[in-house]
Amino acid sequence: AMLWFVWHYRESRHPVPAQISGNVPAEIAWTLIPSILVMGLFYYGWEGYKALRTVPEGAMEVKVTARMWSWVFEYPGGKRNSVLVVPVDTPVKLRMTSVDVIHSLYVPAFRIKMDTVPGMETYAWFKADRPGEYDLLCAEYCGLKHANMITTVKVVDKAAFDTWLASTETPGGKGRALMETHGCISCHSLDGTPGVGPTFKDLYGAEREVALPDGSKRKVFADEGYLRRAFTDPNGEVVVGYDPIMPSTEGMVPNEDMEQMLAWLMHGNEVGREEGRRLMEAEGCISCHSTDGSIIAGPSLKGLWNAPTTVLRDGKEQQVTADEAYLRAKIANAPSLGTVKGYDPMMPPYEHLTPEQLGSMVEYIKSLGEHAH
Amino acid sequence: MSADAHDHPNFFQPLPGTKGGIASWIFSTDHKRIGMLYLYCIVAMFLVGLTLGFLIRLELIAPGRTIMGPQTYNALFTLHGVVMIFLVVIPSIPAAFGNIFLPIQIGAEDVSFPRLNIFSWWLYVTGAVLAVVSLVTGKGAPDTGWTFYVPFSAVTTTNVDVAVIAVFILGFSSILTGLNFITTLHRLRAPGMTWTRLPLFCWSLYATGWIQVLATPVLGITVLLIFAERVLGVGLFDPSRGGDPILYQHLFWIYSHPAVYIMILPAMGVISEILPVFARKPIFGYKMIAFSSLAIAFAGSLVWAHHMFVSGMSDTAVMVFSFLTFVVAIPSAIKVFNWVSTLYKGSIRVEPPLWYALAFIFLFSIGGLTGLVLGSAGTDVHVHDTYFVVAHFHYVIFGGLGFGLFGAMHYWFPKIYGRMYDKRIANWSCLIAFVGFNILYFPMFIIGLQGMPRRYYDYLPKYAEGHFISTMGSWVLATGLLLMFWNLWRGIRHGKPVGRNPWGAATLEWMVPSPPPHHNFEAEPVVTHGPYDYTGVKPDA
Amino acid sequence: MHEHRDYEGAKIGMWLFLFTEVLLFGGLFLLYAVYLHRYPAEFHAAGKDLSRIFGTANTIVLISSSLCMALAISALQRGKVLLSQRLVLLTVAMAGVFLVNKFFEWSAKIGHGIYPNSPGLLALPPGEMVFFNLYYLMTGLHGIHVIIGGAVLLYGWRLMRAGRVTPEHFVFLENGGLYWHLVDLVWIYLFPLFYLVV
Repeated sequence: AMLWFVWHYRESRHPVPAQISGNVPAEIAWTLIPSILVMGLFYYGWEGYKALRTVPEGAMEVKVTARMWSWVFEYPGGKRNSVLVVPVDTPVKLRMTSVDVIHSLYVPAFRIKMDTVPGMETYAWFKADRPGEYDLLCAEYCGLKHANMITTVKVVDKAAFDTWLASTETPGGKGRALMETHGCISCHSLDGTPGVGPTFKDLYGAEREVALPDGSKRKVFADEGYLRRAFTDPNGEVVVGYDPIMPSTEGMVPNEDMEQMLAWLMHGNEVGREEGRRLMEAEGCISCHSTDGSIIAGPSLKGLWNAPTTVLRDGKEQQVTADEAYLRAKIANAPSLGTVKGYDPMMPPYEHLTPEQLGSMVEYIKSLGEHAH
Repeated sequence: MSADAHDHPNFFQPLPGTKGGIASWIFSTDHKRIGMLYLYCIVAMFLVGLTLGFLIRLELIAPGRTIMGPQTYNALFTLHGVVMIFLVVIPSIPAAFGNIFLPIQIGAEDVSFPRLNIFSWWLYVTGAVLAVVSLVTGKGAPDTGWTFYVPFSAVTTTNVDVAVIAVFILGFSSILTGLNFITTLHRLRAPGMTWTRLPLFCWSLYATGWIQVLATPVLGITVLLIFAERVLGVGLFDPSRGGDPILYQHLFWIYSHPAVYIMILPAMGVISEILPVFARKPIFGYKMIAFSSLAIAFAGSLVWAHHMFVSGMSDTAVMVFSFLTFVVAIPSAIKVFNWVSTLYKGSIRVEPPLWYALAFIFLFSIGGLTGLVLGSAGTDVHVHDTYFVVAHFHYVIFGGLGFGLFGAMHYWFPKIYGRMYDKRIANWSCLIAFVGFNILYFPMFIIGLQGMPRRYYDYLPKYAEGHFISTMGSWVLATGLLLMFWNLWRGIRHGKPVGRNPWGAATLEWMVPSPPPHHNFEAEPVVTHGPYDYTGVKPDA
Repeated sequence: MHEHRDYEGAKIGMWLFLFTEVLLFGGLFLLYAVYLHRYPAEFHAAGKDLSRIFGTANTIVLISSSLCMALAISALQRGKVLLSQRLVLLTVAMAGVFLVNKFFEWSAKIGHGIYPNSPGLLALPPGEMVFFNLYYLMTGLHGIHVIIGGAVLLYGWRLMRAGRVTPEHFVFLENGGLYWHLVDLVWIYLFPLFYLVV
């Protein structure tokens, strides 16, 4: 209409302007009509919003923790993952919070978005109709890698979801779990502390002095043969200093379970390393710490092991070495250890990690190479 | 220079008996000189902001790293926001054209507090300098976005401290300007200049002045709190100290939403001046336009939290703010209808200022209508913080205020300089800028609806097409704008001299010589007719 | 340019400015209201730690200074310039007393290890942290206003001595007085909010 007026009433065609300075009915009309229209729009907008805020009964609850620059999803039962896996056709309620700054969980495909705010809990819910993979983005600006704070919502059918949820991913996979199931670790520690029996730590390939039933002593290497014998005939060769009290696994433990445990004992370190890698991805460590030497927001994990490090703590500089104790403490509670010189104090504490998980993370860091002196 | 300009020295020349020189400008208390100082600073800052925006678009032409790293990118969009909002858009029309023409339009010799006026320019310059200083000092340029949301702004180690002090000072400058205008309009109207004979530009500045006075202090205290949190550790928004970061957002938007109206109302005022002049008929519904300015100023102060529908505030608050947001849409719609009907049955002369005004109405309407999508709570959840929002506010602010500002430049150019720019080039630059603008921002609506979040340095490949078109548009737009500035620059030096009233307008500023003399009027004018009464007014050049 | 005097205009401008000042504090009062609503018990507990004697004394000092200022203006209007000058100086002196008082109060608190970002403060429950943070911010900002107000009045006194503020042209002093009343008014709200909140 505007352009038509301009053309139609141009000076050459319409030399004498009409002196209209107002028209009350027209004014009333175009005050009232938009008013009614916008009120209608408001109503529908509000209805739509209410639907987004009303969570159906019996929705599955997932705890979401946002941090710079990763997401962690925690399921009932404690399973944690960096990808949101959900069953199809099931309402899912996300209970969200943040440990550092404000983020915002945004899944365009499901039309949901909600800020995650430190110090409070917010929520959103959705129901996926079709299996598939959908983008999950951060929509509230949160610093350097805001644009990379992206993960996936994986919608799977219900059976697949249940299997996935039930699968344990304790370090070392099945073998490690079986050690627990069969009660081995109540006597044999995993971290080197002495127990009723010798520790499993660094066992494979180590030289041990054992006592034979006749009282004589000799040295053995804990090779595969020895370990097998230790399962089936535990009291045939007892490590010096321990009592011959272990029952044989013969008839108690299925053969295949034994094989699994054996495999874990022999390759446990590598498995731990793999577990460490998986954990560091799930917890979002690698969104700030690269594994290839490049600098993101924190020091690279590559060559970090045993690196001499300058730390600013309470305004003073301190020299530390990135050894096992330091790394464990740093991951578990970074703020209490000060800041590595040259970086910003932004690493949150990861207090929920178990000592074992910390151990496997350290294993992983070790595997990325020692600091070149 | 026209004949009558020689009778008096105009305001570009030194006062009789003084030397002139730079000091006679930067310490001047003459509202016209102060306005010119603002105008040049604002144009310079606009070019800075434009360059930053251009670089941002260039980076986004393809996914992944193109020309800069993420830290640089984050600093760039922060600065683009800070420069454009606080140094260009908020002061633009009121501080430049308001200063130059408000006193003349009401028949006054100057504003009420001339010394305060130059003081607020000095504050503006201080703020601008500090904003620049924040780039090069400390641990790098601020990377928080112009909204300075806590807790991020409290934990980042970049130089936010200086930037927020700059914003505080700029806010103070804005308050003083608003205060000056309100007092001037109350006290210094010439005899016969009743409130209903006030040009609509003055009405819009009056409404703007009130928002500046009422809303800006809240911004002041908010940015001071960020400063206190960073420097003194007074963590009023820090959750680990019992604070609530959402309260920051409330305080911030209590100012910054009304600030949108500080930006747009003066532009609406300019449009209300331009349209009737070129339609040769009185503005349609004078009182409704004046009233809707005040209504927007009032209702606009109550809708701040519609920026926060997904922030975690209560659902009741969402309902209230969504409702109020729709209420603001009504006076804006009234204005648009009144402008269009002003053209109805006029005798329209198509000149560059009118083209800019028409572009304004078109772009502002798109911006306004898409604003309804955002105001509606249900749809906002999806499009909030996406490129849809980016497109929306660029349509409103750049398409609205920006084109209003360009319209004002073209409309008042002959008055300020006593010369005319090349109208043909002006028309072309308007067209190129308009086309480029739409190529730049329209695809953003689409990728926004598809879920592209804003402030992303990098993006998923599915958004690549939209971003590419958008970047192309930025080149067209930049071409149009550079052509426009070049044409105006050339007009200052080589334009054809014109007389007092080249457009045949009826407001008071066209009764004085071009450029206006130092004290505006030889004798205090007595106003006998309304501002849009064109009977007997003929263009003289 | 002829000398341009517009008292009415000057006063409109001043009132608008006072408005912005009220709103500046308004943002903080808003925060106070929200946090009081959230942490009533902690505010109650923390409020007990503030010295009501210091607070009451300062309230009395400020109210009397405001009265003094009002008397100074009416004295000037009635042509008693010397009396007015003295009253203004007395007002400024009371501002000084207020600040000294405030200094001792703050020092005592800081001596107890309660100040922003202090380990002592960070050990408190969140609500009390907010209370003390607000306390330092609001009384600090108010203190800055007392200093500015005092400086303005002192300048007004010099103008009177120089004969630039006279019984005929007293708008500067009147506006300075208005500003001083605002400073007083803000304190009258701060006092119950922090000292009497128990």
